[in-house]
Amino acid sequence: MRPALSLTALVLVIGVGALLSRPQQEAFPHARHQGVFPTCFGCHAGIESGNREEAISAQPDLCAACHDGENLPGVSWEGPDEKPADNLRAVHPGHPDIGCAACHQIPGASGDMEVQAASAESCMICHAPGAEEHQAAGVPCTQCHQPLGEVPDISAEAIGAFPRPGDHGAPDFLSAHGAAAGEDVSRCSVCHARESCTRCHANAASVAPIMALPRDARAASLVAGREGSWPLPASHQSPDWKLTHADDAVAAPQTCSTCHAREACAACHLDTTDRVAEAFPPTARAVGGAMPEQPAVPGHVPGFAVGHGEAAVASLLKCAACHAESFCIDCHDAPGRPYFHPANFVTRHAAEAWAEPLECAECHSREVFCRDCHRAVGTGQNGNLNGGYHDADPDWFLSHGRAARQALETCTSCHQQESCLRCHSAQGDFRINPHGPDFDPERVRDRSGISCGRCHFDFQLDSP
Amino acid sequence: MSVYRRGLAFFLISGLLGPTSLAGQGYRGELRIRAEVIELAGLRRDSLLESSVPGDGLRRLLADGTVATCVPGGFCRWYGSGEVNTVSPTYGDFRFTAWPGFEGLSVHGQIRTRLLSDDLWPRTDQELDLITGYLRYEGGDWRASAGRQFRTGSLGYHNFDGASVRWKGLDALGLEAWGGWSLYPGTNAPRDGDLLADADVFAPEKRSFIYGFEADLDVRRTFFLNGLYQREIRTDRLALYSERIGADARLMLGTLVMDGSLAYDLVNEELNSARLRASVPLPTGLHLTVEGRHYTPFFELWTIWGAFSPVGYNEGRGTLRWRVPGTAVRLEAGGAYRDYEAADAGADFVEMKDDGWRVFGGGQWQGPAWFVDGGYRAETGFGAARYGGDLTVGRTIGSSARLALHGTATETFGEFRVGERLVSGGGLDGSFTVGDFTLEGSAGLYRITFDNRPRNDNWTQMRAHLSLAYRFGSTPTPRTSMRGIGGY
Repeated sequence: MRPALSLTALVLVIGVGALLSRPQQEAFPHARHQGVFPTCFGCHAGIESGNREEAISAQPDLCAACHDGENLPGVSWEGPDEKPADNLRAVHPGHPDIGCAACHQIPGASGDMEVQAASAESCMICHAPGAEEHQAAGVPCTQCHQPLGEVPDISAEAIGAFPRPGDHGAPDFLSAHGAAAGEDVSRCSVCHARESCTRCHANAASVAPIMALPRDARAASLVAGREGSWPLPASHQSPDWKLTHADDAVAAPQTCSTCHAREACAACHLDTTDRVAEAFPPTARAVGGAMPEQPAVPGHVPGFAVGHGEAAVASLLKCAACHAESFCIDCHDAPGRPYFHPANFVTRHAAEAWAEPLECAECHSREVFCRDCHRAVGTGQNGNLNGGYHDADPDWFLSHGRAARQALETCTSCHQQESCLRCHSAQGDFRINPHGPDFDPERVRDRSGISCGRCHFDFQLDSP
Repeated sequence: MSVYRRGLAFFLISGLLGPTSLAGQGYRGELRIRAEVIELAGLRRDSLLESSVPGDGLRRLLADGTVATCVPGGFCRWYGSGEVNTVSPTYGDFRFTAWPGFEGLSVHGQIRTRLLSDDLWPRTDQELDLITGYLRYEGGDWRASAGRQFRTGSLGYHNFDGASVRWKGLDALGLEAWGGWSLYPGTNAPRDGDLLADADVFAPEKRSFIYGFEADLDVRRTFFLNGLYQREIRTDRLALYSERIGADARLMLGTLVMDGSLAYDLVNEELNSARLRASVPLPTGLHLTVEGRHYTPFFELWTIWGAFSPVGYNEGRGTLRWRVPGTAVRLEAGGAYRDYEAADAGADFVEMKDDGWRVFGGGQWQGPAWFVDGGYRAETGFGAARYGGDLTVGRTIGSSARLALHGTATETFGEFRVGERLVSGGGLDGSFTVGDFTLEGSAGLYRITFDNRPRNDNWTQMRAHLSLAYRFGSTPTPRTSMRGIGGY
């Protein structure tokens, strides 16, 4: 088998090499035939008929009529190389009276056979007088070029290599091209299909000029996977734009939907079922048109992650526009996501607990959470004053009252009510009055006499 | 358990009332399993007959220098290290929101289970927790919710079994009223349940009703105000548990943002908390926040603590943050000072701090992949002190993975307790997301050493966790980067 394989490989290599080494056919030497032909149409017969296939060039056998090897040396000209497909219109039938030289004669030359392929500039002499360049705005492309949909033989690569008109590079082109397309979308159609527009326009289905363009698989392949380009309008650059854009969205959602689809709203707004969002078209793509950046929300000042409580409550509905409850729970729900406190906070939480920059009790129950753990590790025990724990001060029993008044929450994280009532109850051992100078017993009695009854057993209850 | 059963029954029936297919409008949710392993060292109380401890007075030294508190004719007592226990709390969380097919109707729920319960870790004896479970209808200017729901605001976090109705008929004004059976904050359980009964001999013997109303005002998207009244009363109506009002406000004037809140106890006529914070950007990327705050703890009326006349403190705080122009560096520094109100208690000759301060500083750098986050905090004052810092270095790997190494060293003191403790160590944490699954984990070792406490043994703490979350549903929820939030 090995000799056979080697032979096959050799044949392939030689064959491919031969193909690659085939010399490119030279163009027909028109200038050397000056005065030979009375008319162009002898060789370019298809020009009159409008048949582009025939019009391209003479056939090689016409050469042999003179170059027969006897009167004139024979030639090996095989005709022009196959020309790649283009989107030029068959323009010759439309120009019957202007003569070939008007478009094909080399500028400055005088001989009939001093010719070249017609250039765009030669067309522009009549069709776009005054235009500075071929692709300039105002040049009527479709007079010479066919729309994309009418030239199926052009490859996607060739379409992608079409020259970019100069006006497409203007700074305001993206924001201004819509009006031009509205006036004459045929100019766009030479290079673009509907897919070219839907890459950026979320509302393409409702824009007539876009829908006037046919779909095209080649254009689709060229834009597949490419992000859209969305210029930032001046209005969006206002500092409070994210806060005020709702007014514009309500008034003219069709304007917003030029760039934004419903999914873009959903990047921030949870509720995309309201009437505003419904005015935006949904897209089947992963992104919904121009997607907003989330962090720069007005009022989300540095440090907002910690100090957002007041704003969250005062404007709760506004929060709900962007955040689901699960967003809050992600941080606030400690067992599920313990990111709120620094690592191993349990070993160093005492300072924060004594003077809370944020109130611990907003999330943690002192009795159930704090006391449960403190009791488990041995600092809090039912009904026990735990002498020996507060060992820094020999006069602790004399000073603890002040400590308790200043940080009673901390005391309750270990001690039950019963601990204090041993001494501070009206029925206790020492009957030490725990009430401060501003304590109003009448006020408390009127609203919660039961707590009075913890110490004052003769207390009579009234409903608050 | 009857409360849980009722809540669950309501929740499940609510779900059954909807169409059999959830495909009508959509659903989303999360299932998360989290397992932790934590070593905790307990304290053990020890004692000797007072007569066997040399010296006199209430405070004596044992032979090794341990401070003992003695009762004449009784015992001398002290605390030393107890055994190190390993706890392994494991949680299962299931939460979801579904739109069952009726326009404007949604079902919300969150259930937590605590598996492999371990009594040494708080709350682990509460094996089933229905945190929320409610139906919500939103239509036109109305929003109504029924079931187990929660409220947040200047009065804290409250959940209850009941109903709430909100009306938003005017762009500038919203009104809401709510009522039902309240749950004890932070427990998702009624006050007369086992949780409180186990925690306090004088726990309430009755459940409570909660009701309240609030109004919120939006003035040209510049001034936001929310005010509320809330009352909790025993179901036999013999006593109140609380009666409070609160307010939150935000004012945005150009780049100046001001936030404020207050909570007021109507029964004790006590201002529990008031906070006013102003935040304004300065040139060259600086941002200044100043804050004034008053805080007096609030105690529900079923306790005796409010009758002990707790006092509050006033605190001033300032923070300067700098986003270094042209870089990915953010720095912050700040400080706070607080001053306690007169306690009018205790012996005059006993000295005790009545103020405190804290300073803090830190920075973050976020590169395309690597990030560094560090900070130092010093806090001293009444009750306890702490000095220490944290440093995290990590990197993100694509958009789906994160790995970080963190270290910490913190020294803590207790004002009413001899000795100090240093916690130092660090660990590794990371997360990895594949599709709708996110795996998170961490592991760390912390060396805990004591000074001036001979009966406390130095030891090395190990802790680790692993969690797996599955997010499902048809509508994505905006996510947030969790790193660096709420570190201090």
